[in-house]
Amino acid sequence: MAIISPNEVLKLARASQLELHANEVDAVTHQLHNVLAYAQCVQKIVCNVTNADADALANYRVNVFRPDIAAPTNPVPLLQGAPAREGNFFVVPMILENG
Amino acid sequence: MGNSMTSRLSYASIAELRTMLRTNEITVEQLRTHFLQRMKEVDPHIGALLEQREHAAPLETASQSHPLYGIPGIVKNNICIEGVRTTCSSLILENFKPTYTATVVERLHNAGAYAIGTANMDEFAMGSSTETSAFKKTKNPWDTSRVPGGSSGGSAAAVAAGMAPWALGSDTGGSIRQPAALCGIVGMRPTYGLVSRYGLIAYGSSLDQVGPLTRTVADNAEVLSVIAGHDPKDSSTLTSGPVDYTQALTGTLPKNLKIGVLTSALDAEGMDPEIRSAIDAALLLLEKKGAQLTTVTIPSFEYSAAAYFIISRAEAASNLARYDGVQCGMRVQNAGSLSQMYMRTRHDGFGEEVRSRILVGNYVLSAGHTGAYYQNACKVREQMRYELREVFKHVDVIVMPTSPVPAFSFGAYDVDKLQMDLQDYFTCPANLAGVPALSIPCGFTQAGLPIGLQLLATHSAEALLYQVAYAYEQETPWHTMHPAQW
Repeated sequence: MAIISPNEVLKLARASQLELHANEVDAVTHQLHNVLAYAQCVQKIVCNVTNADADALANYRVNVFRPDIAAPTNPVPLLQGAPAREGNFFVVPMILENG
Repeated sequence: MGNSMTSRLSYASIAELRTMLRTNEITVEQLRTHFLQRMKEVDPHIGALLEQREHAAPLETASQSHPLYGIPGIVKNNICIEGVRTTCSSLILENFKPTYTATVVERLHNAGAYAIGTANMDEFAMGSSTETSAFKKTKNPWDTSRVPGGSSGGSAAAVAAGMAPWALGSDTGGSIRQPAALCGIVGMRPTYGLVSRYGLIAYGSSLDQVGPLTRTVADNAEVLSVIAGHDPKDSSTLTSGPVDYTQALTGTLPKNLKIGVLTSALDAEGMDPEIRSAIDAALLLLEKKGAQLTTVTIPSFEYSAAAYFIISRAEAASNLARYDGVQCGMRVQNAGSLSQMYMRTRHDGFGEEVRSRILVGNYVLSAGHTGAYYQNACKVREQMRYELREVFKHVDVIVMPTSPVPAFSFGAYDVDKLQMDLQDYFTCPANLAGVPALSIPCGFTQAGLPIGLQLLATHSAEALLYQVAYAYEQETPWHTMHPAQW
């Protein structure tokens, strides 16, 4: 049974901000199905890690903080790579679509 | 420069080059010229490099007192160098030039080294053959009809072909070790957090690590000694200070060394019999040198590739969401709206493999699927960490193959992409658990293709890995052998 349908792939592509051409849908659906079918085996895992073990394993997971100090930033280098800019702003197409 | 000097230089170790520089047998400029010339002669046939940096040189403040003074290397093109085109071998970053330099490169600069070229790679480090690069294919120097492995294939091929004594790669699921194995060189994937990821363009942030590729264990230890250590710019780095890993290179095995042999890996379906034989021979040599061999089992190993697929793709979907044509890189023209610009830019800018991984990543994180996939993958990861910790209570290192097959032909997995993904089968467990893993050459197939042996140890045990690897290396000829054609 197919894990994912072409319609689901189209929705997924939209959610991923990826255009998907009509002639790509079948191949992409097939590829995703193969990977997801293989990956499903993780559902069989029996996790024997107790809370105490998890705590011991997690003893390296500590929060790392640094002082919250404001510092000046220079936007110029970051803007120099922009595909389109106006002053200190990135220029993009209109946000709202026509119609 | 005479012919004999030229051929000595191409495959010289870092220590040999340092001696030659310090005794004035050769100057920094002569060495630089040699490797630039070498690249011009050899790389048209290999395709390892995206850029040769004609004007690169050591920092003006560098001197003979610095450990890697005058020693050039290659940097994988997902590691930022200010002002240098850093593309991740992707069209979407085709003309991107970072505004800063990665910590690992800064440290190499401060040690007197410099990047003489940037290496081709699988696009955004997603692949095991360097075939997904948007720009070119890289060939294996041992057999140019075959791939060098990936995703650090350019780095591995450049070092194997004598274009530089060291290269940097990145390893998310095996991308340093597998190309090292396929190209007959040494590749280290360090403990997660040992090496700063500041300036490494992210693929799977909980899995990525930068590491060295070299022709010898000693060279590898030298480079890791320079790049490793805490970095305040990367909050995931360990708090440990600098370590000189070359101190571990005694030439002997640690007393009472216990080696765990993962026989399920050796007996796995699809394992090339010549690779099995080479691993068995290596284990016999280690046993003769005093190691005690014992069989180990890691039950969660069976699920590790699947868990790696899920976690890496989930993190990649998030990390690559930033590439949308707004701030940098490629942007499609004539989009009718912002949304169209995003979608068309990402379609045209990313290759097929990258787009596929983003889709899988978002699928496994989406409502209704996250429990079955992502959360279970995290359980596998936790179980893998636990099981490895238990195994390392009884053994010092684990031995297994790096790759189930030697270098394969171009296009071998074009139809069955899952089989390409499974090239990471033996390498991804180390990434999931965050432990260090080293691949070293351990022989050749009848067809003359390199074979790699993988050593794993517990967290922060790089010195132990180097000690064992060096002791093995000194008893074998593999590190002295180079592709005859170059």
